[in-house]
Amino acid sequence: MKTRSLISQLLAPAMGLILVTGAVPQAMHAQARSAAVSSINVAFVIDDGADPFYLTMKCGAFAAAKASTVNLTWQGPAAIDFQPELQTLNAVMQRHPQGLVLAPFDPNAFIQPVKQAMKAGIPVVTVDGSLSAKVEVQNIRTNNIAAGKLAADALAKAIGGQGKVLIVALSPGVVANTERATGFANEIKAKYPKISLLPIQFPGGDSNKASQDVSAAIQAHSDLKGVYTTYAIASNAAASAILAAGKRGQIKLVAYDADPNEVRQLKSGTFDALVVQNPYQEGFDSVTLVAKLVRHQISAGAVKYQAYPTSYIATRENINAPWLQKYLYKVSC
Amino acid sequence: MTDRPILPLASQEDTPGIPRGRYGVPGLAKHILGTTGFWMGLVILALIAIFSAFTPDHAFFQLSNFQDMALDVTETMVLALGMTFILGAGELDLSIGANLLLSSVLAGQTIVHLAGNTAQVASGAYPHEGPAIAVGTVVGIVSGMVFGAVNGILVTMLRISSFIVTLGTMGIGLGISYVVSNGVNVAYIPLDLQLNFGVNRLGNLIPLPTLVVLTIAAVLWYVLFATRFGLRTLAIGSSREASVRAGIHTRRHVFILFVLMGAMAGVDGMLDLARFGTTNIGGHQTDALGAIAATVIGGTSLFGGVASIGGAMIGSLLPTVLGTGLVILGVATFYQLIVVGIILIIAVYIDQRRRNRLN
Repeated sequence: MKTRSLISQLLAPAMGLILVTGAVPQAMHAQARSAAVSSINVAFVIDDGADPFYLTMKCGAFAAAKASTVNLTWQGPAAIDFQPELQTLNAVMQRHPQGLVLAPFDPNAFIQPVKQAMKAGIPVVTVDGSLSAKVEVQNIRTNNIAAGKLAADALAKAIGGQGKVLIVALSPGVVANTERATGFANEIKAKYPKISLLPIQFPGGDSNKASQDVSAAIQAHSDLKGVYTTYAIASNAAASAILAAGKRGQIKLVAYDADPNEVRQLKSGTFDALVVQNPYQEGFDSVTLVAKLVRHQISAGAVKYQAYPTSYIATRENINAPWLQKYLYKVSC
Repeated sequence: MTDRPILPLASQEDTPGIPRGRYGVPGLAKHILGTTGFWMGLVILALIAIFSAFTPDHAFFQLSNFQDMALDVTETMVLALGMTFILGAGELDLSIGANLLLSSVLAGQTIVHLAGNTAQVASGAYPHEGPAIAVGTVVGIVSGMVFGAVNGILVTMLRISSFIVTLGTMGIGLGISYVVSNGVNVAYIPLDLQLNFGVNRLGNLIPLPTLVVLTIAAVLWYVLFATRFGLRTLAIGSSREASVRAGIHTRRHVFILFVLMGAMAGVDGMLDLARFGTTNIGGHQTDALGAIAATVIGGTSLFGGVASIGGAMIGSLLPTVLGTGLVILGVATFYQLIVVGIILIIAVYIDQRRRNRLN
């Protein structure tokens, strides 16, 4: 039958495709081996895999893998949706890694798998997000409240301490994101009484929507002086909206995250300050800690639950400073 | 009058997918071999064999992996089962992701409000957990059916194409979900729902949600294959005009199909809540397309008239098997999207060729 042979003809190239793509991942495993220390297997699962933030974290993670002789597997969907991330985590756990680093995109959905892993003797460290129950060994993430404060000071300075300011956040349910807004808002209310805050906008992961929201605010408030965006999609969207309104330089823009596009626009004057989180350190410290836990060089009980990497503010004054370059986000190491 | 078969008997042998009455074993085998679903099933078995052979330590071939995949596939499969009937009748439903989300939000809020007062729930105590979950389940499924009924009314009464209607209700459903939930995932869902059902197994072997979907599949298979209702669904998809002339109440029938699809989305909303212990406001964007792809890969025709429950189940398995296998192999999950897209096109192509050859 023609259909049967057609299928068998297609099966062969399909198998070939899978075998070839199976050969690709060898490049993704850190190969460092020292004579004395034997390599251990650690898995690192993230979401939003195309984001420069996570790509920078990957650089830190693989640097730590090399330094600690770890065979690191890096996996995660490109989507900002915890369901495929959970499926990816389940599949990764089938390989029985000795340690796990996870960037959980939901505070509840990952509690069960992390609990199971910890019970099975696999130390788990979470980065960037957090779980609503403290079931893992350590959580490493930006102190968003403190970083929001830094951003508030930077924006207040840029707009001269008075005027209307708009905050753009991701969605009320993402705690790590709302903390950035809260830290900012609290600092403004406490130290800058002459600055008035417009209602927070939550456009979510849609850059079109974010751009529209900022444009609408610019239209509605001709005395809008500053915009603070808490995540990269909104930052780029706000920049585009401000440029389109012809108000670059008049409306000061402070953004969370320092991905390459934002750095370029900081230098060109569209952004006035960037909050540089430290994904490199999150990746580096988490893998280093997990390696130590797996090798029983530290006991889980001795590890403090919450760790905060240092955040920085980048402005046009310090953007070219040599010490800052390592922390700015990259798309490749 | 209504007992006369819709299609002339002579053509029944040559048109696979149209349910017939009894036929002998050779006829059954010939029927199965003629379906796209069977060949897709072979492809999946081949993939399982390849992944089992080539993953390090044969990690793919572990009971825990098969159990995880069985759980992963559940939500898409429930939607694909409902979509089989919708596509079989020549309609489309793009709103099922939004429907699922709204059901899970309403069910979740019902459960949280009924299980105890605010203070108790926030501290993790749920004095009225059992009844709350029961009522929540009913609320979720009824919400799904009401959503489906709205779709059904708009499609049959206003006579707007189901593509446009469900595109519109998808947006409306999403918007209502955000309004009702305030954009936040419903908090404090009792963990027992997840532990005792969502991630629980029968005899430590079969995940409970998978049992639910298998039961639904068995019931729907029977309806499609052995009842007049199923036959009429395919007749409506084959030729709307001929069905009307044959005396089928097509509008009422299509309305029921949309309510059925809505019920499936409602069930899925509860399964989602149970599996993750939370709603997923940011997700479900591609649920409808995933269900349609699964159904079509399994041999159901996009143009109506040909449908396969078994095929829908097999089609749902494909992205999960591929995605899981690729991750265990260490390949980036991005490739999965490409391969599934290619296989979808191949499946439709095979289906086209097979039907062209038969005409």
